[in-house]
Amino acid sequence: MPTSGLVLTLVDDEVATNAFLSKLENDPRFALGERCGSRWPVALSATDRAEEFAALDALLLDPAVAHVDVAFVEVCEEGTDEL
Amino acid sequence: MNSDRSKGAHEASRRDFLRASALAAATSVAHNGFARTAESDAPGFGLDDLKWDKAPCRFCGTGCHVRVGVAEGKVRAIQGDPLADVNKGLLCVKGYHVGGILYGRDRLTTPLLRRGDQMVPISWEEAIDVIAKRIHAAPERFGFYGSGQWTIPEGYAAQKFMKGGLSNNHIDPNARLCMASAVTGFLAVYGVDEPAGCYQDLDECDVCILWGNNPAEMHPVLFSRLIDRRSRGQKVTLIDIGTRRTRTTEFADHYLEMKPQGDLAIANGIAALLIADGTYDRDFVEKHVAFRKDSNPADNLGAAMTFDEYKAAIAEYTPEKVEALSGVKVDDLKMLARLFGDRSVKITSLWCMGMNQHTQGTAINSLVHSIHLLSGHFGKPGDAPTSLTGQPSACGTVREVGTLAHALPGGLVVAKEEHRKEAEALWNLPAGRINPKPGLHTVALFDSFLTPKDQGGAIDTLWVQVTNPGQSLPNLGKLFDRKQGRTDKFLIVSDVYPTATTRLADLVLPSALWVEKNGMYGNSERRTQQWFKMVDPPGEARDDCWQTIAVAHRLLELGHPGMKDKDGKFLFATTDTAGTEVPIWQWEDYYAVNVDKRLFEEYRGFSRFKHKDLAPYDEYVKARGLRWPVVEQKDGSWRETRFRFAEFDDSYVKQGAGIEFYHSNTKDGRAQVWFRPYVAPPEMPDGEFPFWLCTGRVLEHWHTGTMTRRVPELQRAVPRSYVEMNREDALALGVQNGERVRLESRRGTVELPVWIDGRGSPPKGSLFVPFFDELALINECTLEAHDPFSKQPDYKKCAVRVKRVSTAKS
Repeated sequence: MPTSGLVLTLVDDEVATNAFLSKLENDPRFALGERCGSRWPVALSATDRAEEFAALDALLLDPAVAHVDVAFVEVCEEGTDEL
Repeated sequence: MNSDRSKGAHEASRRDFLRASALAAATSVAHNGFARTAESDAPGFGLDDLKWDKAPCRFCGTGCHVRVGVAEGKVRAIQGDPLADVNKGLLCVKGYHVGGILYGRDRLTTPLLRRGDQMVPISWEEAIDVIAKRIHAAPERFGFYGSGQWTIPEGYAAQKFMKGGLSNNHIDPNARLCMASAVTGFLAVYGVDEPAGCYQDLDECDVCILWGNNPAEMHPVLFSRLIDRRSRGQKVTLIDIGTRRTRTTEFADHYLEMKPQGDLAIANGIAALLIADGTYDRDFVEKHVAFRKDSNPADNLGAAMTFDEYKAAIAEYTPEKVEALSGVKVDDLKMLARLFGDRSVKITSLWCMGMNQHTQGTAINSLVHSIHLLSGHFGKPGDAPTSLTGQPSACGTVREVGTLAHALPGGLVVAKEEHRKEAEALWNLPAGRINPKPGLHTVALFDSFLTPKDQGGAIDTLWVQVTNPGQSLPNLGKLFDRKQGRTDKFLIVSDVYPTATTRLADLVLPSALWVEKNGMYGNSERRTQQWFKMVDPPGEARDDCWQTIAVAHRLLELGHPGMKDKDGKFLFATTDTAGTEVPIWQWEDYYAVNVDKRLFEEYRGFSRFKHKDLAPYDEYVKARGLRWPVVEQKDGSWRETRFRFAEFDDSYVKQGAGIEFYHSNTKDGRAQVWFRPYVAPPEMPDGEFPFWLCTGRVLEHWHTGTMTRRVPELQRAVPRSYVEMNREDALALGVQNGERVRLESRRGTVELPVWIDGRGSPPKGSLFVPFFDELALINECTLEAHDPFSKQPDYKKCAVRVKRVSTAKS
């Protein structure tokens, strides 16, 4: 169950960002922190890496999100078998 | 049942804690301030669940500190260290995932010996015996190939074992491939190695000139220090001088695209304008500078020249000639010269592999220092020529411990009798133990190893630690692949994962990695850092330092006289606090004492010779690194030095001198301004091989990718290598994004998918390929031609051709 700390930089569009933040507040995988301008700290807890990747992709594709920074990573013990 | 419930509650608490820590870290970054500690955010979750300790990051030479969260014997979390001056709580994407490098599925966990086509598990006892017997049979035919990722104690132990024990100087590191030209540049100009300034220069400069450097990807935390200043309303002008557009270019105020090797002409052109326009700093030059040109035969001390001779020689580099040689426009060159001629702005020059991996690397390093000295842009915070390193301890372990074929610790060299005597005294060796003849440098070492004995090959057994030459050497077909099927040459490799090098090894030793062992590193700004072991290595993996000491002791048992000092004691004899010898060559006793501390305290004795003073080990335990010289104060405290040679900060500068180059090659306190002419690259595109090839790194992968490719997040981001190609070239060749092409040089070939308008954008006629991908070895194509002084090869320019191999997209 990997946990990440993310910083989301949101676009300057109040309608889009409100809709996006409402969606996040209703998603139990996310915990929102204290806003700083256009930047929102977020904790993401996913059940596995695949879900984490999917959640990150969804964030990156959302029109309200300009940028995603990673600030904290729980170390994965899964390793990779892509070599 | 109760136990299950308790376990479940425990897991839930741990989850809550990690979530709180993640949110705290994200909040601190979002608010652009120092990160709060996880403990303070989650009282009650302290040592019992997640124990936090400090360590430098395992990757590049920046030297960021991370906080490592450990529970149940595993690294569980990574956070930027808010107490670290280098990174102030921030990390790059690799740094955040550094913990994952420990947990790839294919860690090496037992020694493996080649028997025919099979690698057979053997005991450590047998492995140590095999190595020691091979060395004992022909100690002079043994070579040791190390690394800028060796910890300081690991490198020091290998250095003492080879030069002090075996009287054998055939020890050289992979740093020969990455920063040797920076060393020879510093030596040629200042008489002593390593930058005078520090990262504070990035906080205070008005102009930052990037000489063939892409810090947005290679040193992202340092680059963010510059860019963050803009977000605080400060003006920082970035000038990117390069051979392709990169992520750094996106932030640059000026992008000056040069032809490969054009940097030599640009630097000479700036100097010529400073002299012609009379805008050089006359006062600085009269007080602090002498002039130098190449001697015949050439050496890195050169020959003296007068200012008038220099003025006459440099005058040929007119703006028009420089434009013809470099491609940089006359107006842009004049803009650079105007900036250097303006004493009211502070200029920092940064460089890394672009200037170092260069057949004229010493020359271009000398020239960039020279224009700073000519113009007086030196010795003030923000006014500095500063080289960056690619590995975490290229400075600490290679340049300071001196794990190079010609060097001894502390800036001493084997060729000087007085230096050998100093080393023999510190190591308590009989006079004459240290061999005065420099050993083989990296390219020569591998060439000699792969050359049959009856054809002059001087090396039969080669031990590689903490590096991957099977992927990183240039011209692999000549310098590595020839090992295939050879039984007359014995290759020993200590590593943590199977690599391109272990594929051809005869003996593979599983090593401990990063926080699985004690360690010390030295970063790009002379900062020595320390960490403690936090988790156990997997299986039978063991410290590289222990491996060296165990082999040394087995040689002692076999009767090798060099493994004793002049009093008959073992070279690595170690006692506990009661004075009883601890058998550290036995693994079970290795951590009974702090071997790192014992080796470091011995090594400290060398640091006084070139004013590279180090503090006692325990000072580094308390600090997030200290920059040498670290000088003891009257009150017993230790003071680090941020700006060398400047009276306001460097204790070794005489009072009233202002600036003093106290290791001057001319023994008069002066630095050397060099005249070193433009020289064309040894291989250039032609009708048969019409493209320039440049190689390098990407943000997500570190060097040959052996660690980062085991981290799912990083591997997923950039799974395979590619060739960046200009759109016009792609159109002419009829290839599209993703199509595979074959790159062919005079030395080898590699197949790659094409990336047009990708992360980097090379000009027409140029290609760029990263070298992290073990499945697409670009170094089959590169050239082993190297700088005459540093012996560092040029990975940035050779000639290739491109052929379509399929129309299928990868």
